[in-house]
Amino acid sequence: MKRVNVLIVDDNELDRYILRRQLTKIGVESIIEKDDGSTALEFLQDYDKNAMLYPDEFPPVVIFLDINMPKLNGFDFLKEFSTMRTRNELASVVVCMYSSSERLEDKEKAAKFDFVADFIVKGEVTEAFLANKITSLR
Amino acid sequence: MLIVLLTVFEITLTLWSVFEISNGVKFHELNLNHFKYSSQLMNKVSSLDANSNVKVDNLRAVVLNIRQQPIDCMDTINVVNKFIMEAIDTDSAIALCIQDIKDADHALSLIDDFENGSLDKEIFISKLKASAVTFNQTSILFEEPVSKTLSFIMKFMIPLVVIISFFNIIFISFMSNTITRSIRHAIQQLNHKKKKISLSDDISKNVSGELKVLLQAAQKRITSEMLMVEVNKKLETLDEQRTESLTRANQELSQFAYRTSHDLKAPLSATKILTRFIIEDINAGQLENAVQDTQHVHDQMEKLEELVMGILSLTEADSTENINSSINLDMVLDDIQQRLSGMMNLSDYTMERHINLDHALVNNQTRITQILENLISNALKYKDNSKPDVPFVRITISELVESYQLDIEDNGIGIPVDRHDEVFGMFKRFHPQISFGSGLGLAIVKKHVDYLKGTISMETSDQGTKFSINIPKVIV
Repeated sequence: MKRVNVLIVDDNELDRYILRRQLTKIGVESIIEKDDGSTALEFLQDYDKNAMLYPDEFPPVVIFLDINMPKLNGFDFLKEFSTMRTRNELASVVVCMYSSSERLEDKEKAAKFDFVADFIVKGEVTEAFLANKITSLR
Repeated sequence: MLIVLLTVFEITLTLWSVFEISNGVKFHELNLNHFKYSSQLMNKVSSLDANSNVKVDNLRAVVLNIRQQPIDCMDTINVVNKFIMEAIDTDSAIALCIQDIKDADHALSLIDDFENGSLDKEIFISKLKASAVTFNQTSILFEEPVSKTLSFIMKFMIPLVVIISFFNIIFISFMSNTITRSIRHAIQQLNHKKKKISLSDDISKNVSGELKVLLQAAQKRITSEMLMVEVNKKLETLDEQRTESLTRANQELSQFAYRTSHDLKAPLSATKILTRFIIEDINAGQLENAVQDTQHVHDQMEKLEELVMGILSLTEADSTENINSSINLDMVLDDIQQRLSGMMNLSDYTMERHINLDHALVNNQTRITQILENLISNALKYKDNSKPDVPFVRITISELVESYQLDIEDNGIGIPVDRHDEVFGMFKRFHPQISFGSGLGLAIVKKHVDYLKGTISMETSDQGTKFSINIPKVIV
């Protein structure tokens, strides 16, 4: 598989662990984890610094984004990120929602952002499914 | 009332005067006719001589005409006329009328006698002539009392009417002035605000008569209307409040259902995948990984258990029966410590108890226990390992005059400043790295405190957190 930089934004350590393990299994090598929307935004904001610090893993190509996070939740992140991506080289970044929510309301809300490519429900994810998604996202 | 009587009297008098004057004019007319017919008779009698033929029918008709005038006059005169005429000494007119009728009757009998032939023509003519002269004289005599009566009415009644009218005007302006003055006085008195006197006292003291009745009725009406408006306003507010609280309860419930299903599902989904990992790892011989993931599964199950317990106690908070009993706080705290020691190693903490009560705390034991247990367990969970001091939780329960004060204080990590207003919400976790809780603890505490009609407040900083709960005493 082609090299894909992935950023996982989820406050739940176990969910991050599960996703990382599944992604690793399908051949994704560069994975960075953030435990909240706010830390993820900071990470993307410091573009130049992080591009130097992680020459192979930055910038991410796909962001897996949880919705329920304590400080800055997934939707808040999307709003902030939509203004941020217009000015940096982040324009090509796609977001894939990664949540346990199955509410239609949440899916519609996320779909309003054109850079949100998919909505994956936690617990329904198999490696084959994930591989399929990553390939189609590219 | 007086003014009405006076006005009615004035109008009656005026009408009556007008009527009398018109009567006087009628008397004049009658007299004029009388005079005319008398002259006719005189002429007819004068033209009679021994040779000419006597037209008896003509003569009779003229005499009947003459006779008709006093009869009409007597008809016109009423009791009041009679009374007034007697009073002003003009009743001779009535006597004249009566005499005139008699004279006419006499003249008629002369004509009858002449017709029968029992009266000589010459004698008849001279007698009839005398009658005509009498009629003429009566006419002249009649004029005087009639004029006198009329002038009396003109002289006396009209000034009387004028005087009464004048008096009437003065009386009306006096009354309107009095009314205006008393209204003005009342306005002045009522405008001048007095602190100690109520409006109704003010009215009964400073206003009198019908104005007082009016003001009192108006006051009553206004008071009742204001009361109505107030009641309506209160009902409206109550309605709004109910709607608002219902909407809020609905929102809370849907939020609760959403979060519950989310938080119940998350550990299950994770466990499902983890067990697959474990199988893979065992098959691959990576037992260390398998052990680690099994530990994860265990943690998830623990989390799930705690969430289910939390939900149960939250629903219990709504359904707990309100049975009050005398609570042995030492025993309650012992039990809590016992239960918590199953979850964490309590030897790392110090727990202080300060119970200062004059009387045993009487309240709902289930609620008090859950409040204390949740707060103590929070204090222990969010200890601050970076501080040199041993983590502590200090429980102080004291009796005030009308309430009990429960303080639970710790030297833990505190709650982030910007999230204080979320503290008592459901599913709120402020330390995801440390938390292994359901996010329901403080929501449960708040619910119990609300049920007990108490208040809860919080002071928190990086030095630690202190919850203070005030619960009113139960009236036994």
